[in-house]
Amino acid sequence: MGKYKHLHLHQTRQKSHTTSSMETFKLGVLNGGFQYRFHSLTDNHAPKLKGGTLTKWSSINPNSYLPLQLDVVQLASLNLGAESKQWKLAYEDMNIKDYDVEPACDLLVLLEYLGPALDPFNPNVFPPTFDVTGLDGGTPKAFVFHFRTLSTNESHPSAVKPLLDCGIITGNAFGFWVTCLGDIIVSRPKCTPSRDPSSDSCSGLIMYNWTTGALLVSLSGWVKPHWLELITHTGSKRRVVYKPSQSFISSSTGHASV
Amino acid sequence: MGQLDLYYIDWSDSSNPTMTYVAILELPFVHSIPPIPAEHQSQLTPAHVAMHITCHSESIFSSSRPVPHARGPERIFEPIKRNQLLRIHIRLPWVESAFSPGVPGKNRLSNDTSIYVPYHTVFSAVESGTKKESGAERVHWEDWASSARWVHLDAEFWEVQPRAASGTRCILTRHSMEHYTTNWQDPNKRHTYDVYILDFNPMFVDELANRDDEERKNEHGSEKWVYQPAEPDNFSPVMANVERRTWLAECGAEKAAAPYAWSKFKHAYFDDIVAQLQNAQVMFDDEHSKF
Repeated sequence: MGKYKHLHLHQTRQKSHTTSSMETFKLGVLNGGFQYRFHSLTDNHAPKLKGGTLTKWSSINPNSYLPLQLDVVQLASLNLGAESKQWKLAYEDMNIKDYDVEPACDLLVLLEYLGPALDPFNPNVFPPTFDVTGLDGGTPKAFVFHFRTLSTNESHPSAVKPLLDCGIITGNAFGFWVTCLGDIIVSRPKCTPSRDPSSDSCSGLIMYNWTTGALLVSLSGWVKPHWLELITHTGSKRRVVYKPSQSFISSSTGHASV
Repeated sequence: MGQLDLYYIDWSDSSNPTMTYVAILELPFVHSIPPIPAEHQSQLTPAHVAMHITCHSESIFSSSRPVPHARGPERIFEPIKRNQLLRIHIRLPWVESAFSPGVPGKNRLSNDTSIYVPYHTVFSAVESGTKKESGAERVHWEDWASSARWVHLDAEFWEVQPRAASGTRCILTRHSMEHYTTNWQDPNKRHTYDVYILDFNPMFVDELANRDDEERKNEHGSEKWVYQPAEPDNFSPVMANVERRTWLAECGAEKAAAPYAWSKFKHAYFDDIVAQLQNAQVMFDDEHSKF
């Protein structure tokens, strides 16, 4: 079928109330996985639909959070001329805190916490208390980004670095959001060294072009995180803008670039 | 209420990308918000917020343009970016919905409200901002409201997390009152779960508006797209404009009223499945809907 006919059919379907096809997929717990009670990706984590691709996390074992697995479904698409396809990716001992995909680039980005996966609900503590840092008294570790292919889970061949390690330490183990926007990833780390989760000493925006290695960091807060210095040493192409919060700096806000 | 800050990022020099604060889209002023119930006030600290505003956007990237790292088959078509929508979701997290005893349904006031902003409004503001020699371009609500659509839902519309629009469309899901007030785990209870699709595509909306009167009379109650004018009627699943009795009265929300197109999703298989489910979630993109 020619491209014009495809487009015309798509427009017709957009206005029609007739379902062109319907498929049922089993993901997560229904596909041999487990949902382990945890503050985690598998804890009531809804599937993600993006770019015609469906993804859902589950635990591989019934009695532990790690290791994790990701069910992936490429939905049938008129736009791609493709039938539906389903597969599974497994992650041994990788403490993944967030992720995103960019199907058009066959990209899977993972945010990994380099510390252990600890149960914040800790059934051995009575009365049970919620550890606001998720560290259980441990020393916070860093977060890193992995760039893999969504189809095969290998290091992405177009990524300048398969692993981006800026030494980001936020003071807790819960992670932060990462979003893929084509050749850019955007992430929003918040640094909370105190035990008060409502108190952010620093919040920031990291934007990284995974195909060129260009890194743009914008931070604001009253404490400059220590990893800001690490970025200047680990990133060969970077631009950092740090804006001190006006409430804590008596002079007018300015910015420092590195 | 707040403002949407717009930044322009220049990646042309990969060794020195820059980020510039170029424009502001102001949200309207609200004169007051419903009071926080007394039983909740003792729980609150200065760290808690009275209003929660989030911004949601479906990221659209297509391999229809030749880029070295695009993989897989080339896409034949892609949505018109300037018509795609950003959703600003506004919520009062600590205020219970006002409830009129004995009058369920649409008379329950909702504290969830959304503004759908077409990208061309954002692009226009950014373009103006980049031309300024200094400072950000400030666009007042009155100047950009008419391009947006304000969708204020009654309390029966329920989302676990605010859902971004896809292309020019958004999906709204409504659960029956029975779902909330009775034992929802009772297998004998039938759940009602309605899915509505709103389309803000200006060309599509105009096409519906130009249908003749006879055709439009037959729209309601059938599985068709319905043209929703700015004047409220009894058929629209949502308020065509923000009513004065809500906490948004007189804030200027009425400047972002309809028209838009809407349709109710109907499928026999879906209706049967939903009746058996304890919970359901709807997701969609340009080609697919997922339940």
